[in-house]
Formats: sequence, C-alpha cells, structure tokens
Amino acid sequence: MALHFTRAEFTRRQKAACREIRRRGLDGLLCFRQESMYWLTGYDTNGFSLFQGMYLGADGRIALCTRAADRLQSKYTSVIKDVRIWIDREGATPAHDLRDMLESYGCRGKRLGVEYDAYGLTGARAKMVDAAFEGFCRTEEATDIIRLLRMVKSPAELVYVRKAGTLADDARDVAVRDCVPGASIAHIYGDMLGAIMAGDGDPTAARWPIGAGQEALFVRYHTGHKPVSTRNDQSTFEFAASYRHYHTVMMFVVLTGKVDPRHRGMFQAARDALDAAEGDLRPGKTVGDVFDAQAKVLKGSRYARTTLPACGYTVGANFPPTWMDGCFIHAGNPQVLEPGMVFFKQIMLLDDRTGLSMSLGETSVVTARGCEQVCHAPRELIAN
Amino acid sequence: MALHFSRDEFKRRQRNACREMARQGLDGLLIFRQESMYYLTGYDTSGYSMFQGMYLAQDGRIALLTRTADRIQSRMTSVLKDIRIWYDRDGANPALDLRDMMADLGAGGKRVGVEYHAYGFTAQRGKLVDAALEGFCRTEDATDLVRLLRLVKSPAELKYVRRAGALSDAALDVANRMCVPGQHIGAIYGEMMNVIMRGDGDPTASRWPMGAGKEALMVRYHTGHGKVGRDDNCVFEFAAAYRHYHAALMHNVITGKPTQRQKDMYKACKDALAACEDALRPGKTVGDIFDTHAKSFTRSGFKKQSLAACGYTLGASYPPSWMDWPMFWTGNPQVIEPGMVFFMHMILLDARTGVSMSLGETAIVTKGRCEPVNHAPRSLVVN
Repeated sequence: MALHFTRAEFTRRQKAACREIRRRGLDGLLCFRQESMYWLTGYDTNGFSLFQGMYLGADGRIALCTRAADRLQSKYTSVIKDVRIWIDREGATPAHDLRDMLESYGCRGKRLGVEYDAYGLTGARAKMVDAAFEGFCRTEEATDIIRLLRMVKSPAELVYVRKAGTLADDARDVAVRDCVPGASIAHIYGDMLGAIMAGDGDPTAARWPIGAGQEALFVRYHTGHKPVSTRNDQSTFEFAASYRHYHTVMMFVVLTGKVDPRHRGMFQAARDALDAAEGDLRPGKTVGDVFDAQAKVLKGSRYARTTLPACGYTVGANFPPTWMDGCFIHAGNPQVLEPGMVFFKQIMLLDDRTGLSMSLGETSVVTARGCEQVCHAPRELIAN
Repeated sequence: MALHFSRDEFKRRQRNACREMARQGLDGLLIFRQESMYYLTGYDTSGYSMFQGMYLAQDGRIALLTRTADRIQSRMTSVLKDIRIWYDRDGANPALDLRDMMADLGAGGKRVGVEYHAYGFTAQRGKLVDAALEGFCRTEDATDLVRLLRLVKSPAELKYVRRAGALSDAALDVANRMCVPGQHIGAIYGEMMNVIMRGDGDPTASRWPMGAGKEALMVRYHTGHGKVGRDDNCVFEFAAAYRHYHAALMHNVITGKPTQRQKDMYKACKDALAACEDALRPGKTVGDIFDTHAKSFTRSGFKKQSLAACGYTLGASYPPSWMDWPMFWTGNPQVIEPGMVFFMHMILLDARTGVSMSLGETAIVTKGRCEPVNHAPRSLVVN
C-alpha cells in the first residue's frame, strides 16, 4: 500500500462529500476527474486517458470501474475495496459495465450528479455514458462538488504544498544560476526537472512555458527551444514543482547582457502589482478583489495594454494535462477566500509591439490573517 | 516563427484532410484534438486545457478560436492566419464565438464532422457546443478523419521519430547505469528526463510507470518512488519525444542474482518481440501482430501471464497520453502500411508470485523488415 494520507483523512473527505451530495438532493456522485478520485480515495493513476468512472453513494459506499491495467494499481494506491474491470475488445462499450456497477448499488431510477468537466470524459465518451444511462437514472452536472471541497486544503495537504514550494525554489536556483548569455534553455529545463525529481517530486501535470527571445512571449509549452542570445536577451520561466501531485507554480524573467531600461520599469510595475495582489489575498476577500488589486496598480501605468484578463488560479493535487485547478483570478469572480486555499498569482506584461516581456508570479497559502508564500520569486530584477 | 515542417507539407496535409472530407460527404471539420491542430497547421500549445476549437472548411479555409493567452503563440508556431479570441469572464460561452467563426466560414446549414473524442473537449464543453450548433448545422462524429491520416508518417516526420528513438536509447543507458541497489528511483527518473531535455527533446505526453519492488507491478505513473533493493526487479516503461513525436521503450533491470524464472520470462519476452517485429509488415493487420505475440507466449508457456494488448501506434501526441490508436489487440482490422510507427511491448505479469518481466521497442513499418528506432537490451540487464 502506498497511501499518502491517513485512512481517517480519506474517511473525513468522503463524509464531507456525502454531506454535500445529500444537501443537493442527489443519491450519488459519478466521478470522472482523476483529481477527485485521488482526493477521495488515494487512487493514483494516469489510466483516466482511457475510460474509467468512480461511484460515491450518498450512503458513503464507493466503487470503481476501470481497465485491467489498473487492477493492481488501484489496490496498491487507494482505500477502494470494490474495483470492477471492463475488458478491452473491438466495439467495447464500457459505459454498460459502469451502468451494471451502478445497478448493483441500487442506482436505478435514482438522481446522480456527474462530473462532466473531466479531461478523461471526452465529448465522445459522454455520449456513450448518456446513451447507456438513458432510462436508467437521472443525471445532472455536478463537477463542482468535489472541486469546491478540494479548494480548502487540510494540514496534511499543506505539508505537501510546502514541500512542493521548496522544490520550486530549488528549480528557481538552477534557472537563476544557469541562465546566462549563450546558455541552452533545453539544458536549464533538464536540470530544473532533475532537481525536482531528485527531491522526490513528480513531473508536473503540464509542461513549462520557458523561452528566450521571442519565445519569452509564449505562455504555453512549445517544442524546440532556442538558446539564450550571446548578447542581450530576456528568458521567461513559468514552471511548477509537484510533490505527491500537489503543485506550486512560479514565474519570473531573467535578463542577460545589457539591461533595457524599459525592462526595469516593467519589473517595478510587476512587483508592485504582485505585492498588491498578495495584500488582498486574505480571508473575507473575493477572488475578484485580488484581480482588482493588481489591476488598480497597473491601470495607471504605461503597461495597462500589455496585461491579460486573468492573473492566476487556484492549485492543488492535479493530473495532466494541466495544473490549473480553476477558480481563475479574473474580474468579478465571487469566490470568497478562506484559510487553507492555495493560489498562484501571476503578473504578466507581454508587449508584442516592443517584443518585451516581464512577469512575476508565486504561490501562496491563504492563512487566518493574510497569506504565506510557499515559494519565492526573485523580488529584484535578475540580470545575468 | 517556429515551424517544424515546410509550408508545403502543411498544405499537403490540409489538402488530404479536405479530400477525405469530400469523400465522406462532409462540408467541414470542427477540430478539438491538439494532435490534429499541430498536424494540420503546426499550432503548438497546451492551451487545449481551456476551450478552443479549429474549423477547416472543405474548400480549404481554416480558422482558430482560442484565448488571449494563445494569441501570440498561435501566430508564432503555426501557418494560421485567421485567429479569433474569446474572452474569459464569469458565464462566458465560447461555443457561441465558435459558431460565429464557423458562420463566417460558411458552415451554416452544412454537414460538419466533429472531433468529439478529444481530451480538451470535455463532456461539459461538448454539451456547450452541441447546444450552440443546434439548428445551425448538422454534426456527426469525425474523430477518426485526421487520426487516420496521421497514422502514416511522411519522411520529415520519420526524421523526428528517429531522433526521439535516439533520445530514448540515451535515457535507457542512464537507467541501466544508475539502477543499482540503494539508488532512489526518482533520481534515475530525473537523470533520464535530463538527458532527453539536453538532447533538445520534450517532456513526454505522459509520465512514466517506473518502479522497484512492489511498485514494479504498477503499469501507470504513481507519485512517491522507493529505492532500488538488493535483489530487486525494476521496471522501466518510458518514452522520449522530439518535436512531440514519441518513441517508447520498455525493459526490466535485475539487481542481485536473477532467478531461473526471471531468465525464462526474459527469454520468452525476447522471442515474442522478435516474432512481432518479424510480422510487422505491410499487408498484415494490427490484430495479426497481437496474435503473433499470443502465439509466441503460448509456445514458451507464458500465455497465462501475458496481457490482452501488446502495444499501439505512436506519433506526435500531447498530454495526457502518448498512446495513439489503434492498439494491438485481437481482431483489430487496421491494415499495416509503410510509414506507420508502432510501439510493441511484451509484458509478463505473474499475479501469483508478483514477478514481472517486459521488453518493448518502437519500430517504423517499411516495405520489407521493420526499422526499430530504439533498442531494448537483447540480454537480461543485471546490476
């Protein structure tokens, strides 16, 4: 067994979920998000790229339907006792196996919540599920039940978040040290990954937008990295470290060669905006307030037109293809902040007119009085 | 601009897709798979974790709808000219922006194929799009249209496949060197990734099932790796990617003295792999390769310990998986052609004793014998 939380904690989480299921008048929840399965039971796999589904009844009973490849894995990594296997074959409809499993739990004619917003549940698989459930039970969208419960982390989860923060700081040190004129971005990326893995971390749920020159304006991973210029350059590092799947994210720019004074101005603005956002990241404020705090700082500056309409999101235990856990920090988001929530805040100034880029971001835990930075982006402009 | 193929090649691919649409009586294709977008235009992003969609009309016009974060990236990585942006806000419905874009490209009242099977296209997003297109055009599943075109690789693609093969061989060397008693599996994993990155590769589309001791029986990635023991059996199932093209490899490393059972299992895997590589020729079906695998394990007496699938095709793939379709299982009718690329894995799992053994490598189908692009060890690795 490789459980990363106590059985008591899994029981507590399942109980909280059942309470919410009953509160919404549902008889059970059909989970398709790997994040929910890991949180509720410890089940740790990337088998969600194929069809699988988990059932949690309002009465607390739980069962998993997955492929043979995950039979042992689900036994070793989770507290699930009832695991059903569907068999691969041409023309297999595993939604029928899932329905059979639900039938044995008395779900016929019942009202079930479904996690419809799950990467493993593609549009095509949803049509298969909906067709199999037609006339069997009533279903409704309930992706938010577990997502909202997962937002507030337990003390045991926060231990992993802080550990991920330390690993992100280690990776930052590699980038700050090695990003010099003429350096290979691919080498730096590799050494950053090496540091995280040697520290018992995970390869993160997404790949990193890292790049020099024009690629510094990319905010997504892309293949094929150009080296840092031997003269003047800007290199963007947006990366995360993950420990037991819990992510902390960081973002900054390293300048090389002679510093363009406009970069200094951009850095100052980004730092002030990040400080403002962190100042409002405390209980009682809304996520929209955090957006407004940084927007107010940048609005009066000359960089207003280079900003993006969102400046971060919540993070937790996430699986590929992304570590962005939703609840984006954008204007008007009404989510109220509570202690134990974890947010990545990022200020990105991307100027496609001048080709200049500057950014600063880090991850914090909301505490009773304010927030605690779990990883630390450089607060001075880095010029190598 | 960072294009990894010539503009002519992208044009050829788009024309083939349009020809196939015409053959199937479709007026356009609504694309949600990142693999298809990369293949048709070069567009390279992880932005598919949010809502985005591409539309290719049968007359060749093509457009992308994505978020602001991908405005610059889509312009710099692709041949796309028509890029539209939808804006994040509470209650945003980007499916309506998508319909507007399709209307501009003449999709109103037409018959449109949709890539419904795409990881970025979750059930929730699927319902959003179905509702927006209701009464606007007719839709039907066409997930296979570009997937089937992608199966046969061009000479330019095969260069990247071979490069990925070389990187996976380099990672294999790291595994064989570092997998000794007391070593942390995480450290080996990190060095393997590092050598791939230093060779200008990509972090692969999925994470690797690797483990010692009991973890060797897990065939998926899991968090928290132990150390290599003194008499241990470590499984390595990994891949390298170059320009998103993957080459996968699989093998076991034994520490201490291997048992006769392990030696027998290794030999059975080696024989099965040789038989499959011998059979991987044009004209055979994917199902034939599975049957070859099963027959070989029956001959060696390990049929009961073998699995119901023995590999799959590979290409340019994005997270969460590098597994492309078809999969090698019995009865799969896909006919094998030159230029296809397959990962063949021979796996034995003895549930009773907990002993496992495996051997797998990636090969290109040619006119004659297949060309392995990486090289699993042909004798049992004992450290």
